[in-house]
Amino acid sequence: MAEKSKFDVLVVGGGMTGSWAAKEFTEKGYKTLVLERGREVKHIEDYSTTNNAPWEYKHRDYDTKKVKGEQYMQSTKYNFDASSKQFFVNDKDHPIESPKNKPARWFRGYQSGGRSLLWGRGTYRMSDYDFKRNIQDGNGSDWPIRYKDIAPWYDYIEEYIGVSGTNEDLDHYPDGKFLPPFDMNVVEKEVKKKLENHYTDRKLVPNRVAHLTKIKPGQFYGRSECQTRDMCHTGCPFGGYFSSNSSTLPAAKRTGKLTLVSNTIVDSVIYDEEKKKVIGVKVIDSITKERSEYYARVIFLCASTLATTGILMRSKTATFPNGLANSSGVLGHYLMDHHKNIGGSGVMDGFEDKYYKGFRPAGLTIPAFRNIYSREKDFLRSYGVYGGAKREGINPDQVGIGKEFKEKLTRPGAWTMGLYAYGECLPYYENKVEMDEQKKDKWGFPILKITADFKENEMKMRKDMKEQVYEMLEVMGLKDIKVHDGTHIMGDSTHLTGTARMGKDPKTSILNSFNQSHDIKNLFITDGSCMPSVSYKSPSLTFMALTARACDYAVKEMDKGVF
Amino acid sequence: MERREAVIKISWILKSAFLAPTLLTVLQSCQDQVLSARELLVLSDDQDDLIIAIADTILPRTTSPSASDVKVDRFIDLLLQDVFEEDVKQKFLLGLLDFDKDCESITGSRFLELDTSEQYTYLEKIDKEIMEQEYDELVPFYYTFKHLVITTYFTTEQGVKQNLNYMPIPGAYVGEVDLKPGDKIIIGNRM
Repeated sequence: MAEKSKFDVLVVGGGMTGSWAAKEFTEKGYKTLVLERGREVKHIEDYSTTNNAPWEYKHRDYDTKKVKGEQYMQSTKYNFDASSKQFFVNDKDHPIESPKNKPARWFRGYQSGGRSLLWGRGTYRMSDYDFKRNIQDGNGSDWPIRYKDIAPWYDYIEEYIGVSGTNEDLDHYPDGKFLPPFDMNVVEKEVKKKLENHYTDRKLVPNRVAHLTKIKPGQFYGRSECQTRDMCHTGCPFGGYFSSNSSTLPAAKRTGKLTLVSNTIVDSVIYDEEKKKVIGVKVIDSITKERSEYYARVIFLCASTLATTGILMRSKTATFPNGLANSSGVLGHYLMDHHKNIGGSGVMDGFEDKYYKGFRPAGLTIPAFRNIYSREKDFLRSYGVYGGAKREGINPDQVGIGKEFKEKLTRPGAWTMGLYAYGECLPYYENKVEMDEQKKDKWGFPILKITADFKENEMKMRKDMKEQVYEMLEVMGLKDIKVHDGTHIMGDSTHLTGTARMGKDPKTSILNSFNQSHDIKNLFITDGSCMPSVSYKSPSLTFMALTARACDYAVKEMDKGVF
Repeated sequence: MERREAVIKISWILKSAFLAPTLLTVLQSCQDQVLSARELLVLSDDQDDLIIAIADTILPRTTSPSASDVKVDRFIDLLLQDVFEEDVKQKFLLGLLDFDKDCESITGSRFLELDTSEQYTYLEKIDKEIMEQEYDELVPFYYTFKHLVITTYFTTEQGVKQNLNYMPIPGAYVGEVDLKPGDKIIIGNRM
């Protein structure tokens, strides 16, 4: 194979974690290849819709029958619309399977930057309460790390990506290196007082989000402060929120050590049975379907939870007949997501002479308050509550017609406050992803079949979530309170995790405490698949931190000549 | 039963069909369409006229454009072709027909035959009856219609710029500003 195909490090996937790996290795001087199965999306120049006004879209925010036909799954995501659909896959080309009684969703962005263009930007540190849950209640395998192991890496990531938020001195919701928070509006300040006067165990705080609220000269190269357009899902030309495209990928490129190859799907990882190492990957060009191979000393799989799992399952060898690095047999199992779609809202009287300026792309959080210090409910684990207050905008669903009504429509309406909850899902062996060898996609790869659902523990938690949302809205002094209890579909929260988990014991886990394969020393996995539990917190910050930490470890091993 | 006492005929439409993306199976219409002189896609000229008349009664021309000034009717026509599933489209068109029949049975005239003030008086009554009630998943045609007219109007350039405080790049978020009498809703480019 030609020399141009040999690299120090090969990273599969140019999304949230892969781009961190690219940055870390290239900045240490290593020649790094990133293989991206989708197209390259360049910061600013490829944000094709970001300056469009609603009237510039033929169908405005409606998904046409054609779009719903092609993106039948992706179009169910909350931030999918005419302005963002180019960052989601075509479901017809990328089908998944799930049993009828266990529907599943897999939201995907196949492009450089991946779903970092589409994420909700919630940025939370897991605490030791989270890291110890599995060992405490006996579900899943113990995390091989504790907070002290990851805390410096949380610092490192937060300072680089920019996270706005407040320090709250809650041991289960660790403080961090924050930029100033977004303001709370007048109603939010009012309900915060009421909530915190009523409960001793709850706080209403600005959500921690990866937005640049304040920049000092020299910080955040190439990015500028958030302009509160709330257009994040179109790609931000200001770099106001963290995406790989605006931050880590350009940093890796600046080193001159990065090779980014797009439109290239990894078929499988090549394992050398004698050396007991991985030596490269087989790929297929997604457009020409031409096959080739790339080689490297170290391989990082950062393709996303399900994609990485699929690659390992396709990489069968004599030593690993059930999937590469899968001597434990847990590959594909313990799939988790957060369960959501429980929320409510109410109306706040008064404050009619107050408003706000800007479309704050972030809300508020009530960090978890259930089962933190001891088990106090009939379910295990916990949930977080999110929300915010705003004035009603254009309200067509009211009585009135004619001149005066038309004028009335243009006035800010009543203040409403909404809350919604996200709950933790236990790791269950039977929640799994596998390959359906009978059905192939257009590149000849077996389609992934997801068999997973939320179970009794999550259902009990949901009952409490709903009750507490109602109770807290009442405590906040709201009227006309409405709560809803919607669907709970695996994958709907876009936090699929857990199918190639870390652990202390090679018999029950795939990865060690440095995200290194127990079986194959020069193979690392740092995307969401590595998580033994998902906690109730959005996982992006944690797997970014785990990636940087794994890179640091791998660099030291490489420098020592271990691989 | 006397016509005047008849319950108003209401074509019910699933709220989710026009409010939010759904997972409905795609049904392609196989019907041949006769192109109208106005180059309408789905609507006939008569249907278009009726839509314009109702829409402009809801949102008349003031110092800012009326619903039809910004071609709300044409956007509804486009939605009927490209967005709504066949069954929703048929219910919508049936609802429009029923609306006119109801008008005729109650006032003695079709809506387009009423003068502007009569149209206002009639629609005000219908609007009150329908919009005062709460609905779950199914809503009456008029509810759908009004929702479409208003939301469409306020996604057009003139609808936004001549009625609201259009702020595509607000800058830093300010959590508390005073709202003075006459201040408008601030709106950006987020759909």
